[in-house]
Amino acid sequence: MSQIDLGPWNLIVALAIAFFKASLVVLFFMHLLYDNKMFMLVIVSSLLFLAIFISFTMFDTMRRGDMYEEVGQPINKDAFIYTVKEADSTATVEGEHGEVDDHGGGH
Amino acid sequence: MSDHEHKPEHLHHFAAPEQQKESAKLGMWIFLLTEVLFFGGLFCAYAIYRAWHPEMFHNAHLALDWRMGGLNTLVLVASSVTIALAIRAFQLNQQKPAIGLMIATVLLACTFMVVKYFEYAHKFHLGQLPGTFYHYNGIEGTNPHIFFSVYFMMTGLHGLHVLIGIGVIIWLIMRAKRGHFSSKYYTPVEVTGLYWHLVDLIWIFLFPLLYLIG
Repeated sequence: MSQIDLGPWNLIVALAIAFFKASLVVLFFMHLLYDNKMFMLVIVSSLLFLAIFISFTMFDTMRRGDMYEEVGQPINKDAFIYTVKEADSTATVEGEHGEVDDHGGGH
Repeated sequence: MSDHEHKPEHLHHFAAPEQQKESAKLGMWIFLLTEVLFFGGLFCAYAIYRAWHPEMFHNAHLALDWRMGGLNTLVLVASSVTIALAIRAFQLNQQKPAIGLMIATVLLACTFMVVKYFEYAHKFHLGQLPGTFYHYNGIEGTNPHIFFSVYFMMTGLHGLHVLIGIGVIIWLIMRAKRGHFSSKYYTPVEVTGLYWHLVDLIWIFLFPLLYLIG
């Protein structure tokens, strides 16, 4: 992949080639295809737990800080309080709706 | 105590030689499971650091020579072939070719270590060292020492496994020369072969992840 650039597919293609080579080694050199099925169960379970380990860790690390973006967003962008504030930017809004309260929008 | 009691090929707590052999192989497969998780922790660390610093990883990996890494891949796969052929030779009761193939495996593994030595020596010379020892200025990006920490930890641990494998295979060669193995009993060679294939497998994943970052 250092020589051919496929953009975001680079990692996937590189890993796919590695998986293909690896399965050849495991199935034929290590005789896994022909041996007692217990051996296949052992190695498949190790790969399964490794997959869980890495994917759950990445779920965590990749999404940290996302909550602060969520908190910073208005719940409903089209709510009256925002549209009124934009329309009457020069006039103050009084009356039934009381003060215009900035609910943390636009942090 | 008669010599019969101590023959490794027929231990009395097993019902049959086949069962003994299956038990040995199961034991080795379970050990390989632990090795997968062992290296898996390092692969997870790689995934995290690469996700946090994608451009730096790309810039830093250019300091590695993919041709040397590719050569090492071919060398290790060839050594897997030779040890698989050695096991087959034992199955066919061909002692001498089997020993020759095991010697070939050791020589290929040593070639791997030599290539690795040249790679490491080049990096030490330039100052591309892990962690706090890093003192090289040519790589752009945040915290380039992280890439080299990951690189040296993963390839170093893998290299240690190669060295241990070389030692074990040399011991097996010595046993084979004394006639311990035949088509009736070659289990130690077979389980060592399994270990060796795993070492090869780990390198098959290390190579694209470290040397071929897109």
